[in-house]
Amino acid sequence: MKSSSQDKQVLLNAAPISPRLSIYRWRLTMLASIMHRASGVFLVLVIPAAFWLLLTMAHDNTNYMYALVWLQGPIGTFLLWLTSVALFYHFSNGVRFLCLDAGWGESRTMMKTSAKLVLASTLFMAILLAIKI
Amino acid sequence: MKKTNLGAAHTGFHDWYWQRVSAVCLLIGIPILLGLLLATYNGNIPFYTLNLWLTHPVAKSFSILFLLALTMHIWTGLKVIIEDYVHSTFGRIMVLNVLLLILLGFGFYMSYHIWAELSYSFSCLPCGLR
Repeated sequence: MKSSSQDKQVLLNAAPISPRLSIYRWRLTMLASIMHRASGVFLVLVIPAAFWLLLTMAHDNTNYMYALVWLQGPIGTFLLWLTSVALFYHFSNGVRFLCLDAGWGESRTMMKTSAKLVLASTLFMAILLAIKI
Repeated sequence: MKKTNLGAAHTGFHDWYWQRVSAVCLLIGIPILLGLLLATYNGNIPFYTLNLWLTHPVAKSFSILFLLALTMHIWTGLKVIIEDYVHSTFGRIMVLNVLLLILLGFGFYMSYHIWAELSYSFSCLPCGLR
């Protein structure tokens, strides 16, 4: 199928099924949803690596020392911070999505409030971790 | 009213359901994992303790369950994204199959790493005689 006929099909169906960034007006809830995807893609690259790192560290004393030195260097520290922030966002917004699936807080104002809450707490967490790490 | 256009996947309930199930598993597992990594980074967990905790057979079994939930969540999450943004059917099938192969490889590699030490103590042939 050509893309133009697909577009027509979507319009005929009244409700577009895939996110069309150029058609929808930007809203806070939409930003929260897009950022959930973006942080998810980032975590796919990083979390398996963190899992591998931790297990490798646990299996060998020399690996433990190498990994610890690398982690405490500038690249390791920055990656750990970025991963923690992305994970915190994906985690809290994931809880928000699970609540929405369960039917809690589905009203327009509640969705906006919870999106604000998630974004604000992520910002707070980013600053806190930047100081702490 | 029944929707006639179900999207690129044509069906979606199972993916949706397992994405939620694995999400709840990760909700429990990931804070523990990252907490361990942060505590080790800050020097609160020495090598001996980390080794003792993570190489215990119970921890290894939980690691396997965590790995299963993680790969399942990665698969369902990336599948939805790919189905949304890769519009040609051929491209979609190619990308999804390559992704599946990568995830399977990752799963085998990680489960080998998780159980490797036990295999050594049983002196299993393919895992290397020490």
